[in-house]
Amino acid sequence: MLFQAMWAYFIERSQDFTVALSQHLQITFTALVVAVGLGVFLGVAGSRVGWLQKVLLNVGKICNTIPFLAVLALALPLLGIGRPPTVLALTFVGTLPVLINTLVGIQQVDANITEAARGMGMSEIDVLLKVELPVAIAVIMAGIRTSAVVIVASTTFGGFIGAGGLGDLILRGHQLARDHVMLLGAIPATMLAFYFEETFGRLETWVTPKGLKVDNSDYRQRGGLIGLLCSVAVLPLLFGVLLPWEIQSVPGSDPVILTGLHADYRSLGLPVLVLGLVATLWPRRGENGNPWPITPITFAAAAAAFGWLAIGLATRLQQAPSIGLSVLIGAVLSIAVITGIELVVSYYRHRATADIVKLRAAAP
Amino acid sequence: MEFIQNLGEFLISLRDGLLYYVPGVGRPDRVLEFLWGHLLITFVTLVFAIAISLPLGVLITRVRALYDPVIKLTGMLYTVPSLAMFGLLIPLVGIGFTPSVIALTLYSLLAIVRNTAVGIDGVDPAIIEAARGMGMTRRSILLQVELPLALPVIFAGVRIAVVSTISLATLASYFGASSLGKLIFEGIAAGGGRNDKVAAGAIGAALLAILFDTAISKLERSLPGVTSKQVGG
Repeated sequence: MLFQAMWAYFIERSQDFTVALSQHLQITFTALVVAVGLGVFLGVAGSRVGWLQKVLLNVGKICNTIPFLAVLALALPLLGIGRPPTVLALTFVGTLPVLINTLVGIQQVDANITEAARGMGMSEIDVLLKVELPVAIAVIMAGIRTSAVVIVASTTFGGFIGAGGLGDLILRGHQLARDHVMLLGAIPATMLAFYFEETFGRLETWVTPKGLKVDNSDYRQRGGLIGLLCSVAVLPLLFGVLLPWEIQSVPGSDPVILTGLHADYRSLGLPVLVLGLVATLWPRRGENGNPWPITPITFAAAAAAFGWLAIGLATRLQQAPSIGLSVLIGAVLSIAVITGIELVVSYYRHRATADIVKLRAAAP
Repeated sequence: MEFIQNLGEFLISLRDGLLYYVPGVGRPDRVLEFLWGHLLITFVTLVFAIAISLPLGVLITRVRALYDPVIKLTGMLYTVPSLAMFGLLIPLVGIGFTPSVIALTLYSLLAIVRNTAVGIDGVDPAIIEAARGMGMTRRSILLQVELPLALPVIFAGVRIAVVSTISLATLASYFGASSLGKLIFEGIAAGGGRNDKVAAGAIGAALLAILFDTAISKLERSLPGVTSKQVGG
């Protein structure tokens, strides 16, 4: 019932939702870009200067424990309410993981390697760009992933100080005591966080140089470049199709929101998003991952999403809302079923490996 | 020019925020009340989190097949945005103290479960072999050998859980619980006029988190016996 109410609200007020989502993503990406740039820059600078490194590492670790709400509250007197303080606070918390991981990553590079590079006559810049950064890139990307997930999750707090975003829907639902409005904010926000976690995880695997991948511990083997592209493809889909474009025809007037699509079509947005997310979240594999045909499945799910989109564009279905709801439920069920099968399979596989491990342990 | 003015206002609200703690000028009694609520939420959450996570962490080292699903599931719970977690829980359990404790417990699971499992896995098999050779039962091996040796790693997990709980407990006051976040929300609701409250709440919450983090990591280092490095944590 709750989900039906949520769906009805989504169909009825789809513009509110799309505006909230677009605000959310705009804030997230602004903060993420600045945070990554600043974090890597400070990290590299810190790795060159001895005392700066210690200072940055310690300050970074202390700042990491400060609650995000406190950071946001301190940004409030500085910049007032709205988007700027939110972006500032998000940039602050997003910079820390990137900074810490860049410092630690470069610190971990074997001194013999850099020594050898210098001995070969490489300049300082070359040592940094061709030796240290490539070796440290996996650690740095892990920091960027943490940062992305923290930022996209914390953007919901922007609702408290009037920056909009999905948090705004959650808070509005809470204030009006309407649970379905709250869910309409909470569910997409959760999915976005999962999405960022997964996509940046894939990116992390992809950028790690082959020689540095540890076969066993690297459990993020996720179908290589095609898998990465499929998951990244969801975002243009979000931006290009689902999200409205705001146009201010006369300066000072209210912006006109163009979805550019037929009204029926808007209800197709969420199924497309869901299918894309299914494609992204599909290959969640364990430490000793099953050799499942991950890439084809991912590809098929993404293709289905695009196909759905094409059908929607061509036909402008009359029953779009109800079809949308069934697709949503179907997608969720399929995730559940596949995950269940995968768990059973991995149980048997693990039992086999556990026996082998036991045998090995028993041997003197 | 405008920036300098903003900076000035920022510093003024910081000062006012500190003054809020001074008896007679501010309201230290309210701060104490919220602090008490904050610590209560943290403590109750921690009790539940340890009561659930410790057995779960031991279980997944015994039943390997459960290792991945449990770690993955708790990891997914940890990824859920905190505000969204409240948004998802409120339709189920209403508002107030209970949903806050449930939400915060769900967040704490990952750190403690993972560290318990890692800590127990890190115990040298030779030690366990020796214990078995001495005729110890599986239960006493767990209680007298594995858990004590894994304690520093488990403790590190508890520290992470405590800090994240303190951090998220600020949010709980928006949904009916009492914590230092209440000051922040009251200040925001006043619409810009009460930046001193906002700053007071922020300073309190930040200091509390930093204080607990430092204190527990001091305690961690003074733990008797094995250090986390020796058990491979």
